[in-house]
Amino acid sequence: MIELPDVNSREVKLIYLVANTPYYLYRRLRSTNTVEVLAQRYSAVELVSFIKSVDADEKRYMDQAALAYAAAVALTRHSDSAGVDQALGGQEAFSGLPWISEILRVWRAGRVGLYSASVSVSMAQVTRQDRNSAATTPLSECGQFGVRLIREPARSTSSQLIVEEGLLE
Amino acid sequence: MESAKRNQIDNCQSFEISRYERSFFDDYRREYPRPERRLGAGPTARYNCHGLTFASRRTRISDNATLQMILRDDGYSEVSATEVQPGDVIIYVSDESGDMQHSGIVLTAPDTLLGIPIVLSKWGNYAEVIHAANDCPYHDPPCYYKYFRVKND
Repeated sequence: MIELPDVNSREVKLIYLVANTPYYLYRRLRSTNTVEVLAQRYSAVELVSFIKSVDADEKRYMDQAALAYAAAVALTRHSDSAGVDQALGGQEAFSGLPWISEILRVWRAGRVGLYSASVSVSMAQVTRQDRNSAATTPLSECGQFGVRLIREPARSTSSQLIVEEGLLE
Repeated sequence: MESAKRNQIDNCQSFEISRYERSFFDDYRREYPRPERRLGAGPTARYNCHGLTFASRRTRISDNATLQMILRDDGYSEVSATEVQPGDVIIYVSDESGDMQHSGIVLTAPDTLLGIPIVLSKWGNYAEVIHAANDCPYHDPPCYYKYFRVKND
């Protein structure tokens, strides 16, 4: 069981208090020393158990909520994703900690990597293929869109450019 | 709550902040000594920055798709930094994800030297703050500014 005095929660508390979106919270917490310590010191089962205990406490304070979110982010730093899934036991939503499901969703979608790289792509060369036909449209004519680059794991050298409509203008 | 085009706006009202929790914010005053808290608009969890900017301080909005819908349905148009006027909306957009990680209301147009406006914004559960756009906790992850205005003419 995670004990509050066991972890310096000041940095996660300060981030949580000004977070406006779950993605911001995830991205900021992910780089904190507290999350690093939680991920190293506690198993996925212990982290999930702590999240559940905070979720069940209707009188929780903000610092407990902040630490529970840090525990959720620490889960995403565990290398054994199957173990994380097993510890969660299919539970992704926590009513008292509503951003956890979004944090887990972002993690699963692989939107936050451990490294970043700049990729230059000419907009004129990128096209969107319609799901239901072979028709393609230049991305520059697609209106609102967002782009993320997914690199296939496990020795693959291929990369896939994913276009998500509606993310960015 | 609905947009101008009668679409539902996903939102939630959170719990209020206890006196014990209010003490946490002293750390922010030390870290950001320049920004000025708007009098009478102290820490509350009821609304966040997007709730201040788009929902009359009534509730919290944190979903990006919902924010996109509000911009679209309520008739916001993007304006360039050189055209920004008091009353326009500023949105801090994450470089890497497009996440709208913060928003506020422009109080003074960007200065001619650095191009930085003064804005009124709500820092998460903390207070409403009057600050230079770059003097706040929302530049990590790295972001850029976008400005919007409802144009009725």
